[in-house]
Amino acid sequence: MENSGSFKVRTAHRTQPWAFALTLLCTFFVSAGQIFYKFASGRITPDIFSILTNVPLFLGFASYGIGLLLLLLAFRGGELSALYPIIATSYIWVCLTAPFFFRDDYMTIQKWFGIAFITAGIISVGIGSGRKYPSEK
Amino acid sequence: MNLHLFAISLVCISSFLGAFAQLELKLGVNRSTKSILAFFKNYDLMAGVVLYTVAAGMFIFALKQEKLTVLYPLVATSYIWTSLLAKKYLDERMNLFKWTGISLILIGVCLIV
Repeated sequence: MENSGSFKVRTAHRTQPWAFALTLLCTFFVSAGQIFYKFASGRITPDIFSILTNVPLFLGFASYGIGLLLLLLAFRGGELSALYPIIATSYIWVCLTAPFFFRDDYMTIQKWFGIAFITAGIISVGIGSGRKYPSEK
Repeated sequence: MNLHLFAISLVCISSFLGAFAQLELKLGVNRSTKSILAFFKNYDLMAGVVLYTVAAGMFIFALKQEKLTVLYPLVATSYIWTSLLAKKYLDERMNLFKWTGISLILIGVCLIV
């Protein structure tokens, strides 16, 4: 039997560890997607055939699609305000891997600081989402 | 109108839409979607996917007019809007740890681009 529409699943207030893990997995695919898009952008020419044969472009779409599906699964396991900021880790993965793929990309001290701030921010959001609700006691 | 200003306004709107997209996706998955048919009746989920695509399209369009270093921190403000929407529509509680975390992430994004 289908139960679409009116039936709502009660999601846990407290965000589950597996939901954090799924969101993190999602960021790997989103980052891979961004690297693929960067490869794809170098191959864009005005003719349609070149777009249809642009393999990195479609790999980028596929990665984003898988990422979105994983995010949707993750969203079932807890709070939006706890899980969504985890997406910011994709900045870290892209920043760290881009120098291996693109010659004009390199790490700087400023970028390492950025990575440190984002990591600290995500840890803080994680701590905040583990705190009890006043109603829970 | 100044092209840079146009791109910046476009990305601000895009980050709002992006936050609404996340809210709709969350509302969508809160419903039970066990069959494929139920999936296509899930208007929240579909609205989320459409908003997400529109927001991404606006960002890519704006990217042609303005530098990434200006636009990325603006996109990252969607973490603030998403949290505010979650508080208002999903009854999620925000606290000092979460707000501090989002601020640190914003600073980090500004440094990384």
